[in-house]
Amino acid sequence: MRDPNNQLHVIKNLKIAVSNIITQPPQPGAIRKLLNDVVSSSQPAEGLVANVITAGDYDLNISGTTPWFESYRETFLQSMPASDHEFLNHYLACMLVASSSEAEPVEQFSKLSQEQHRIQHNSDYSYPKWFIPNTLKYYVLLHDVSAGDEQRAELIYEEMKHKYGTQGCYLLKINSRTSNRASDEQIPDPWSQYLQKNSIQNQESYEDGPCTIISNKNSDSNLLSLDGLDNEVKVDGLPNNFRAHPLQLDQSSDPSNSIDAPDHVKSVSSLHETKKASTGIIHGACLTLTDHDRIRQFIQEFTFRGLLPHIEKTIRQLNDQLISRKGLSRSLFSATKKWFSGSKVPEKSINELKNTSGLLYPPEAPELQIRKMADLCFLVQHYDLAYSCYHTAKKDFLNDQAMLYAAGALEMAAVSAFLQPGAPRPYPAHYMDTAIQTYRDICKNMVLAERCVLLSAEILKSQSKYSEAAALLIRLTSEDSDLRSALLLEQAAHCFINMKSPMVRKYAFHMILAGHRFSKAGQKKHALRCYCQAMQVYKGKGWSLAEDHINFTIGRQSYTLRQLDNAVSAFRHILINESKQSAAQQGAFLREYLYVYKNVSQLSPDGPLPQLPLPYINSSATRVFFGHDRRPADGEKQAATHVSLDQEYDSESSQQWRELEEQVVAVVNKGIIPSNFHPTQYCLNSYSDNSRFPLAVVEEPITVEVAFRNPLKVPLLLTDLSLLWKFQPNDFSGKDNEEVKERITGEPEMIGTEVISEFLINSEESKVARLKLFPHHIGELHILGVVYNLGTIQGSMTVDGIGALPGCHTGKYSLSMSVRGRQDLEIQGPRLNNTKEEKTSIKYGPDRRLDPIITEEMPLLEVFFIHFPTGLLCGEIRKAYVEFVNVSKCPLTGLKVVSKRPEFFTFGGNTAVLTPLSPSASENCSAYKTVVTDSTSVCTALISSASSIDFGIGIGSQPEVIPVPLPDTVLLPGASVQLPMWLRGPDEEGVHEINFLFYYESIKKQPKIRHRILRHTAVICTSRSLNVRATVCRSNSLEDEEGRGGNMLVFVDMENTNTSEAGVKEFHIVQVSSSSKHWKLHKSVNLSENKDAKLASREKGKFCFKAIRCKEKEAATQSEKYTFADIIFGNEQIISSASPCADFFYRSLSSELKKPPPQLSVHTEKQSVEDAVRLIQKCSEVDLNIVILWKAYVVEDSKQLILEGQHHVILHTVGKEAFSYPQKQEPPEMELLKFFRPESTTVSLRPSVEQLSNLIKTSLHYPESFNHPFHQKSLCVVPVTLLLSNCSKADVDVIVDLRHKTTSPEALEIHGSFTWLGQTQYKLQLKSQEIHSLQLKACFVHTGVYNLGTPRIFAKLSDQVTVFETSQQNSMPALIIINNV
Amino acid sequence: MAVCIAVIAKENYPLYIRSTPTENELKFHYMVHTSLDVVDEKISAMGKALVDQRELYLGLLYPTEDYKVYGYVTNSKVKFVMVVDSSNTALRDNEIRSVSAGDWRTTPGWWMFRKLHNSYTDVMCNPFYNPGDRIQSRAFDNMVMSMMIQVC
Amino acid sequence: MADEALFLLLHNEIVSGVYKSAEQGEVENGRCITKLENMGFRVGQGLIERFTKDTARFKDELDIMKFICKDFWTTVFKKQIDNLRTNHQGIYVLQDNKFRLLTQMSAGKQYLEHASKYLAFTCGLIRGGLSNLGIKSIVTAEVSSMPACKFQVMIQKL
Repeated sequence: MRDPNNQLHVIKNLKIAVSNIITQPPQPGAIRKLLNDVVSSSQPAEGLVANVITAGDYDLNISGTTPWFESYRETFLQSMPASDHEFLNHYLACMLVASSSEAEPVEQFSKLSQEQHRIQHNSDYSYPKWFIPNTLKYYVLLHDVSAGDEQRAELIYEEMKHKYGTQGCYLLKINSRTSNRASDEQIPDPWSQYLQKNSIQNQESYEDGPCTIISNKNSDSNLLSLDGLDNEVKVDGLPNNFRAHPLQLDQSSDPSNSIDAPDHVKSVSSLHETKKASTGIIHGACLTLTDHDRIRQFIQEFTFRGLLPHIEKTIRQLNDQLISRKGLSRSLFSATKKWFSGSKVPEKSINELKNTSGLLYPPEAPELQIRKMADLCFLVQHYDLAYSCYHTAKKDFLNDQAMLYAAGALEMAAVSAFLQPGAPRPYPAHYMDTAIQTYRDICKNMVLAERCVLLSAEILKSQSKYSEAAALLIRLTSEDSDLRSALLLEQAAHCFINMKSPMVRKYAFHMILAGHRFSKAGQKKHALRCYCQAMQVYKGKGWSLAEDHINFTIGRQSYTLRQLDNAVSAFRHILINESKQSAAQQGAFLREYLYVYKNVSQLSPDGPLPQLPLPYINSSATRVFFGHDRRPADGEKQAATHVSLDQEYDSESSQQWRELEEQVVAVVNKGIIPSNFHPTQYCLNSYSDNSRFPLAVVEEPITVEVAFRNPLKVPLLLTDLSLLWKFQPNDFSGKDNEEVKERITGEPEMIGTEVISEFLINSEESKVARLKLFPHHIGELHILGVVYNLGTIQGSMTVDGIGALPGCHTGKYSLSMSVRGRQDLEIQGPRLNNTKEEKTSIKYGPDRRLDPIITEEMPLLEVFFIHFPTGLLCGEIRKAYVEFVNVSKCPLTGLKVVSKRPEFFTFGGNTAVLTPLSPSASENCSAYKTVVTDSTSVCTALISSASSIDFGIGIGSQPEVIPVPLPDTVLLPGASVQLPMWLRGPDEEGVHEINFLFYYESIKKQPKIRHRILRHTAVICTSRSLNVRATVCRSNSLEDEEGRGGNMLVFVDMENTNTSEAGVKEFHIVQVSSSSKHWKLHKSVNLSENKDAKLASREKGKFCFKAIRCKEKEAATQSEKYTFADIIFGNEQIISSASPCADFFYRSLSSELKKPPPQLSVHTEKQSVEDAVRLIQKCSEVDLNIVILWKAYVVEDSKQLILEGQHHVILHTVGKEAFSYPQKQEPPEMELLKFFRPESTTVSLRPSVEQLSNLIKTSLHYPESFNHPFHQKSLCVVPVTLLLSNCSKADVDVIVDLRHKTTSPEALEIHGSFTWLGQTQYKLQLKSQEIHSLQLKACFVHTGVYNLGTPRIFAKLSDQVTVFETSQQNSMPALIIINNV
Repeated sequence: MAVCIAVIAKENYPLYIRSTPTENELKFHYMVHTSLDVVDEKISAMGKALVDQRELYLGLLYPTEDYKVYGYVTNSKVKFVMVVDSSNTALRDNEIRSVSAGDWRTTPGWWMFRKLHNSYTDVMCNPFYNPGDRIQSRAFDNMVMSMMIQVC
Repeated sequence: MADEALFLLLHNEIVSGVYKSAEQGEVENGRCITKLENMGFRVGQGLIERFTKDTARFKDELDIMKFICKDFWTTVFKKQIDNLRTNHQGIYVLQDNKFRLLTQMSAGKQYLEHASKYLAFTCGLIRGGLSNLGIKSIVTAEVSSMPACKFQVMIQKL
């Protein structure tokens, strides 16, 4: 076309929109609804590949396209009602259509044109708006080929030509195909693609209800017009939407001829039918391709012949007007005033200026003419011209403050400036801004403002001025329309992310805002999408609060959208990672979560139980305990403290137990521990060795302790808490039926499961639950986890009892809501660190804690202690009773007890009578076996003897392992045995923990479990009692009855060290017994005074006994035989050779024996010397053991009881002190610096002096005082006998030298000198044990006191080369008094 | 006077956030988080600037309708963000002047951030704090609180 | 910074302490260097936070390295790095001809095998400082003759 100054101007891609003349302006409500639908209907495509945007450390995948927004924009623009201040969507031309089949088409045409004129110029039709007064009319004769006949049509067409001229009219032939169904299918619906777009017009016309034909028709013509687009779309390069927008705004209308032309119906009936028949989807089924061409051609005709020329003409007219005005006056403004003075009265305009934007020009006002022209130019894409016009128009409008108009002008100016080819002038963004501002603030017209913003934003984006665009978009978001705000915000967000340095966080934030608005606008899907998008940014970046919030919302949204899994996972997130939320918040979260969760579970009631996130389970802290719980103590019956979950793990004690068990097992297996031995573990925890499958016994409960922790600030309530397990029975292993079992659906006959109906965990509390299983069947059990209903505590809400959670109401807490779920217990084994690759890589061993193997029945022992004391005096003997009960169904045997402290207790030796009178009867009668004796036969000893074998103290046998003397070595099921048990308070005072380990086996050997054990820890507190010291030395006294020197004196000092105010009055020594292989107490020497020795507190007493060798025969014959000699102070004898006295004696002895005897290092070359030494030593050795038995009178709460006890003293060597209690040697002070290692000191071969001095026993015999008449005879000779007895077993050469070796001078003057007469030196040999007497003469010269102990005796083993000479100084000085008479 | 004070690690996760009206804590979290974009922008811009302008204090990051957000970045890329009620003018007005004068040190905002920075440094040198953890220090907390209530 | 003598002595004690504990088998011997290095790392973090409080924002990597050589070094060791060299691909060599922590020991080759102990801490110091300024790096040291030593900083590009 040509523009006003005749430049040729090319129009590309012109679109023509056609609509019904009757169309009404769409109602705002309808529009809103429509927009909503459009947005919600377009969702992101499923398989949409989102492009990854990497910004900083964020990788977000974001789909750049937002189809919903585009379609929203389209629809929004199309649904814009035409307004007065602009002409862009005013009607430009009018098609008048009549059917050829009508009676009088020509009449029809004239009628129509009148009609049109009426509509346009009559005021009651405010709509549609017309561009210019004289609208182009275009007359179209529609000819239905299938119906009417050609000629007639042609005729009428000729007629029309006459009337309206050739360019004014057209003959359109359509429907050249007959409508037969079969052929319908293959031609595609040519229009469908367009209908969608213009659906508004359709819809509107449907609404304002003239008959469907019209709508149908104009839908046709819409399509036609759009065909025009479709053959040029390829040509244009610009993004379609920019072009699309302005061009769509012009619409031409065709008259509604149907109102008064019923016959017209028939004309298009076929069309109509097909439409109907094909349910309105397929349009124009009756059109052949030729028809299509015709239609296209028709449009071409219409545009080129009719429309464009018309526009051209109008533009020219308007232009002329303007030119002329310019000609008239310089000032365009005033000129307009004058020129069109009729149209508008100035002062009217003035006061209109006062009121705001709404300065309304009458439609023909000159300013509007410019605007019109501008619009026209714009429509025909003559942008620069358009721009200039808009520019001028804008000036005018601003001058008379017509803000609305001005804004419109500004807006269009900007747009056209932008659209100008090659963009000669920069895009005037400020125009837009002002325009928007005006629209929004001054004339409060949000719709226009929005349009403006949309345009501007698009333009800015296309110029990649994203931040500006974003700002613009955000500015328009407001309260009044959520949908719009949401969309705009989303666009803004996209702007942020598209910036050259992407603003990720802003993107996220605005996405969230958008999501918020979307949800308010009811666009759930979009809302969810937005939140998810935003989530990418916030996820795992430490912004927990925000993250929680988003998660929560996502959860909500996806729940309302029934995307339950997402919902659950989202809520899960909130609860799992330690949220910093307030308690209330968490409560809300939790409730929400539960609610959603319940719905999920309701959806799939029989699905696998879901994993619950709460509460936390500390799997590694899980403990497993096999066996029954411990019986509480009833009365003085006290069950063995076995193992229980209440004892916490203690490494060295468990080590002790292990050692004990190894000992007993070793004893059972002849001293070797079988290779496959593993210590039995009753309680498995993270410390125990869990590498093997533990063994559980059928019918014995398995307790699993699970450690829960509640991370939330709100309490959690678990109901119906039980274990979840898998069981493979052994017997029908052919088909391994594994049923993962849950309490509700389980088979109780396989495994019984205990259920904790309620388990409350307070906020942020850690708590353990103990869950029991009762295996009734042998096989392999795998404990998988726990199942429970998770819930919270609520005020007083009642739970609706859905099937998943039975019996929730029963509890004292009424829980708001709860869901059934499970949590697995998987325990990681210890880190393997043995092999190379294990060290390098991180591998973990298996942990079989929870996979016990159920074995067949085993005996089960229970042990009770009766009268078991808690406090004892040191050395006190107390009789208690032990009850063994076999609670299992199979007999047990081989019962043994092992303890580190065997000297603490005894069951009595074999000699002991095994018919214990019942514990009740045995009250306060002596623990000992006693016989009453007459008090005459006191101080001489009563002899009895017993062998140590009887008391289980064989050599080499493990004294710690003590077989329990069951009456008949088996304990039958259900049977129980009571045995007496004597206890002896340990010698050290203080608290003693004494571990008993009871070992027993089943009658029938089993592959898996050889034996079972039962543990008991006794705690005894001992207080000091007696403290006994004893020494033995040779008596120098003459041998009277059964001489043959070998009797000794035993001195026993005892002290009552009991300092307790507990009211221990006094100790009575009732008896002193000796026990030895070669010696025995003969009689007590000095007890002139106190008959029975009392020792009050802190008193000391000394006893002296004479000990003699046993008869050779009894000494020689049986080596293991011990001779017991009792010396009684009371009037009843305690048979020390019987239980329990002997037992304890032997025990203490054995504990002595355990100490290795002083072993001499073997030097081969000096062999002889050694045995010499040994001989010498031997003769100074004694093995005499003293047993002191005592009674203590104790007053306890005003009643006196008598305690008994015994102490042992073991005498090894002559002259050495021995103690009843081990001497505590004070620890050596630790040295700071160690310079060298002390080398082991070799034992010297020389026997010590005192050992040698014991070789020969000497004694002088002489009158103590001798009267001699010195005046008669000046020399006094006194006979003295020197007895020499050989104590050793070997011959000894003895040299006796009488010569005065003057001892120290003062010795001289104390007792004056005397002389031995006769032979002064004797050499003689003594056989072993031989006693030899020498007759000596001592000669005195005057009276005085003399010491005869001067002879020096040298002894040496006769067969020895080396002489061990010792001066056998006899200890005490032998004094003699010489008197003169 | 500040409504929210936040310390953000160089990896842009919060080391510490405290806001006085605790009920809409969430909002402030969002606000601070969003402000980080601006901080990054400013820093990248700052890189090119001359030495004397290379100041730790970033001044006003962005205003929202009812709040103002100020920023400060230490050399160790730790960000301090302070949200101030826009009703309180104390910061803003002499900000404008002195910023135009090109020296921040006279502005109260600068001083506040200095205080913040100092006590943050103390936190860093506290043996019980290992860098990168959330700040638990009572002392720091008190200081922040004082800055919140203090009116100027 | 505390009085330098104090620092030097304390440092010696730390080193010997660590190695003692290694002898007692509390740490296996190889890890001593690492242990010292980690100590230094933490200290460096703290120090840099303090030192950079009043400095202007750093322009770039080189700027930071200069800071380390001048201010940081001066405050810690009472002298500057004598010579800083770089290939501009993120390798920097800081040379100190009279490194404080080595000066107490005799010059030259004696005790040379012990030098590494006394450099580990400082390596950590540098690494810590840099990391707190947002630069990940590996710092190694080498000594040819005693009081002089070189620290090589390899920047990890992330």
